[in-house]
Amino acid sequence: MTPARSFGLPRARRFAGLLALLLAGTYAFDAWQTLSFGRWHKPGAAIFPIAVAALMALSAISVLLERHGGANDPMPATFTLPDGADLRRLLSVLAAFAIYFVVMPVLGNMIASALFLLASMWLLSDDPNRSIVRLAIYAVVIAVVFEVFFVRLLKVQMPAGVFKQWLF
Amino acid sequence: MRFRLNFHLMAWAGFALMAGVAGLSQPAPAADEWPTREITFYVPYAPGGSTDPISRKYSELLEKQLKVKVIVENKPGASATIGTGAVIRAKPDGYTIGLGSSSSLAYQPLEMKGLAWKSADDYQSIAKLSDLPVILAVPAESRWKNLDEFLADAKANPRKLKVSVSGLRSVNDIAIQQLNKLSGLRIVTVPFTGGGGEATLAALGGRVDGTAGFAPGMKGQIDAGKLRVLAVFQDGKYDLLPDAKPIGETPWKDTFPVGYYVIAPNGLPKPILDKLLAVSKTIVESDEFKSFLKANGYTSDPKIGDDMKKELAGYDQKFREVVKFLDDDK
Amino acid sequence: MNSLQGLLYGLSIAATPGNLLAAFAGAFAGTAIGVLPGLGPVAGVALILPLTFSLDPTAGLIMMAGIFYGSMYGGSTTAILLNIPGESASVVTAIDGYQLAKKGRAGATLTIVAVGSFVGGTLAVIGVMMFSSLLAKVAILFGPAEFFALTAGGLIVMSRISGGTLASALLPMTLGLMLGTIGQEAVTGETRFTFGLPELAEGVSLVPVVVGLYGFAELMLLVEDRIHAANRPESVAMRDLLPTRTEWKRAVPSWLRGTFLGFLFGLVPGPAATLASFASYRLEKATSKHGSEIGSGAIEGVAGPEAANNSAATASLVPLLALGIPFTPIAALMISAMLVQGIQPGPLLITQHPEIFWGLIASAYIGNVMLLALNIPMVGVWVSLLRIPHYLFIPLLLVVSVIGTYSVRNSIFDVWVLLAAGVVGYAFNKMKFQLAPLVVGLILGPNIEKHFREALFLSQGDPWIYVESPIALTVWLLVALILIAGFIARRRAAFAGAMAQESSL
Repeated sequence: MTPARSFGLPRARRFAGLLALLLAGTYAFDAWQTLSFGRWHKPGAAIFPIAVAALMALSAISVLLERHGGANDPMPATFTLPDGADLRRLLSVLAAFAIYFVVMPVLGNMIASALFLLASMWLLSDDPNRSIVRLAIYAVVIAVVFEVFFVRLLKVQMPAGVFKQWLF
Repeated sequence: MRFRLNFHLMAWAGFALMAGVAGLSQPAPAADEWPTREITFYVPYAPGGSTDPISRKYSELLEKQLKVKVIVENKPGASATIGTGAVIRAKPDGYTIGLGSSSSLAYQPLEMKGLAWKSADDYQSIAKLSDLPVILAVPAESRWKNLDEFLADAKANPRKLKVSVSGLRSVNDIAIQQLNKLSGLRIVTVPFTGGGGEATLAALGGRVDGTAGFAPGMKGQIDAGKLRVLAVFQDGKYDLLPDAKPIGETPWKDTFPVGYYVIAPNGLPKPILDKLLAVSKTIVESDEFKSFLKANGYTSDPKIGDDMKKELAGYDQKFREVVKFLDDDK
Repeated sequence: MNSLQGLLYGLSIAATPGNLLAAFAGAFAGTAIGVLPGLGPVAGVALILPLTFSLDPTAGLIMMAGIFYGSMYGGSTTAILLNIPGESASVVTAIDGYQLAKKGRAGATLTIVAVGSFVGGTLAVIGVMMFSSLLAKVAILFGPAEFFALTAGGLIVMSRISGGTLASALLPMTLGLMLGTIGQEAVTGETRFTFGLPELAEGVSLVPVVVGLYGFAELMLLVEDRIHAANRPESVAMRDLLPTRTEWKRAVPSWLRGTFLGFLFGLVPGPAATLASFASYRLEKATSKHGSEIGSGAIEGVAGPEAANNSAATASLVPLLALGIPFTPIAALMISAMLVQGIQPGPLLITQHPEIFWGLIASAYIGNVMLLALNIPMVGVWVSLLRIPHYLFIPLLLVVSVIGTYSVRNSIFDVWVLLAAGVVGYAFNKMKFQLAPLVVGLILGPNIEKHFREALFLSQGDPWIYVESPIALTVWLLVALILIAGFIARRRAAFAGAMAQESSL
C-alpha cells in the first residue's frame, strides 16, 4: 500500500480561489502604483495588467462560488497527496534536483548530472539490494553520453565548471 | 555491503582529491599566451536584425586571426541592456567580449536606472565596427517623390504624417525625433515592435505614410520597387542607396547614425588588451570586412580603443538633449 | 520559369550529394534536438547557424530547413510517450497523444504523427510553390487591429481548449496572462513585476513553463507513487506499432483540415506553428465526427494539430521567400545566414538567386520524405524507451529537461522556473485545474497587449480601429458565432441528458 492522505477537493479549490483573489489584488495595486497609464493616443503599460487583474478577480470569484457535489458534478470530492515514505521520497528528489542546478555552474554540467543521476536513481529504486556501483556506472555512462552528444556534437551550451581542463 | 560502502567512500575521497588538485593547480592565466580556449561573443540582440550578421562576420574573422573558436551567442532583451551588461560584468580575462551599439552603450543608461554602466568609462572600448544610417522610405505608390515633398507635407499637416519605427525610443525613432526637434516639424512615430519587419510591413500595407529603418532589412523591398527611399540620416551620400537624400543636405543636419562597437569588461590584462586591439584593427581595416560592410549597407568608420571611446562620450550629450525633447513633448 | 520548371531546377540542385547530405544531417540532428524537451526548432537552428557559414549558401539553408522540420516532428515524440511536450507547438499533442499511449497505442500514434507531418509539410510546400507571390499579399492585409482580433478572439475561443469547467480553465488562463506581463513590455519598454531580478526583465520564457507544467509535474506524479511507477508498460507487439484501418480512416480528414488551417496561420506574423496546432485541436473538437472523444484519447486530436504545425512551419517560408521579411525567429536566423553570405533576401530573391529559392522548395520535399523514412523505423525504438525502468528513466528525463531548458537562454534562472512550474502543474493536476489554458494565455497575452496598444498608437487614440477593417470585423463575428454554437450545443446536450434521465425513470 502506498501511504497517502486524502483531502477535500472543494476546500482546496476554494483555497486556491482565495489565493488567486489575493494575487489579483496585489498585482493590480502594484500595476496602479508603478506603471504609467499614458493617454488614448499613447496607451501606457498599466492598462493591460489592470484588465488582467480584473479577469483574475473574476475567475477567482467563479472558483469561490462553485457548487460542488450532486450527481452532475464532474469533479471528484477528494484528492490524495503522498504521505510517509512516499512524501519523503518526493521531497528528496525535489531537493536533489534543486541542489543539482545550484552546483551545476561550479561542477559543470557533466559532473553535476552524474551526481544527480546517481542520487535520484538511488532514491527511486525499489530494490533493497540495489548496488551503488551499478547505479554509479549507469550515472556516469548517461552523463558522458549526454555530454558527448548534446554539448560536444550538437554544441548545446552548458556550464563547463571549474574542472574543465581535466575533462576531455 | 562492506565493499560497497568502501567504494562509496573511495568515490568521495577521489572526488575531494580532485577538487583539491583543481584548487591548487588552477593554472595562472598566462596573459601572453591568450587565447588558449574559445572566446564567447555576446550579441545583445536577437538574430534577424542588422546586428547579428555583422557580429558573426567579425567573429568569423577573429576566429581566423586568433586560431581559436569564437562562439556567437545572442542574449537579447530589455533594449539590448541584458547582453551588454553580461559583457561588462564578465571576468576581464579576454574570453568574453561582445557587441555594443550607440543605443545600448550611450542612450540606454539615460533611460534606465541601475545599469552596470553610465558612461564610456565603465567598459573597455575595443573597436568600432561600422556605422549604419537610418533610412526613411515610403510605399512606392505614395504621393511623395522625394524628401522635400514629404517634409513640405509634414509641415502643412503637423501630427498627421505617420512613420513606423521598430520601437519607441529605438535608434530609428530617435532619428525622426531629432529631425522633429531641429526642424519644428511634428512627424508622428508609430511603434511596431517585436522585430520581424512589422514596421516595414506596415508601410507596404499602407497603414503608415512611411517607415524609418535600416537598409539590410529594407533593401530587398526597395530594389523590387515596393518601397521608395527618400532620405538617409547621415551627412554624405549613401553608396548602397544613392537615391536617398542625405539629411546633411537639409538645414537639420545634426543626426544620429547607429554605431556598432566591440566592447570588453574593464580591467583586461595589458598583453591581452593590446593583442585584441591589434587584431581588431587588422579585421576592421581588412578588405574582406570592408567589402562585407559595403555589400550590406554598413558604413566603414574604423576607430580603435580610445578613438572609439571619444566618439561614444560625444554621443552622450546629444542623447541627453533629445531625451529632454521627448520628455517635454509627452 | 514556371513552377514546374522551377521545381525541376530546384530538384537538380537539391539532389546533389552535398545538398542531400545537408538535408539528411539537418533532419537527423533536428529530430534529435526536438526530442530533447525544451530544445525546440529555434534553438536547433541557432545552434547550427555558425556551421552553415562554412557551407555554400544553398546547402546551409537546406540544412537549416531540415533542422526546422526535424525538430517540429521530434517535439511531439515525448509529448505522446511521456506527456512532456518538447516545445510549445506540441502542447495539444500531449493531451490526446498521452491518453492514446496509455491505451497501448503509442506506436500507432507516432506513425500517424509521422505520416501527418509528412502530409502537412508536403501539401504546404505545394501551396508555397504555386502561390508564393500571391500569398505574400496576405501578410500585408494584417495590421494591429486585425492581429488584435485574431489573438484576443483566439484567446476567447481557445480558453476551454482542454475541456473542464469554465472556472477550471479561466483561472489558469489568467495566470498565464499574468506571467506574460512580467518583464520589459514591448511597446514602451517599461519594466513590470520583476521584483528587482534582472533575469525577470527578459520575461518568463515559454519553454521552462511548458516543460515544467507538463513534464516535471508528470514526473512528480510518478515519483510519489512507487507502486504505480513499478508498472511498466507491456512490450508492444509489432502490429501495435501500426495504426488500424479505422485509425487511418479517422486521421485523413483531420490531416487535411489541419494542413489547411496551418497553412493560413503560416502566412501571418506570430507564433504560427503553436497557434496553428491549438486552433486545429479546437477545430477537430468542433468538426470531427468523434469530436466528443477528443481529450480522452482520440486520434483526431493528434493528427490534426501535428499536420497543422508542420504545414504552418512550411507556409512561414512564404513571407520569408516572397517578402524577405521574417515572421518567425527561425526565418530571422535564415535571413541572418543569407546576409552573412552576401545574399539580399526580398521580393527579387527568386530572380536574383533562383538556386536558393527553388533549392529550398525542393529541399522541403526531400526533407519531408527523408523525415518519413527516418522516423517510421524509429517508432519501434521510441516505444521501447517506455520499457526502461522508471528509477532510471525519471532521473534521465530530469537531466534532459534541464539541459534543454538551460540551453535556450543559457540561464540557470530558467531552470528554477522549470521547477516552480512543475510544482504549480502538480498542484493544478491535483486540484483539477486545466493546464493547456495557462500555456494559451502565456503565448497570446503579450501579443494581445502589443497589438491592442499599437493599434491605438496607429489610430492616434481612435478606438474604432478595432472593428473598422473587414478582416477584423469578420474575425470578431466568427468568434461570436463559435461561442453561440458552442453554447447551443452544450444546452442541447444538457437537455438530451435530462430527457434521457427522465425517460429512464
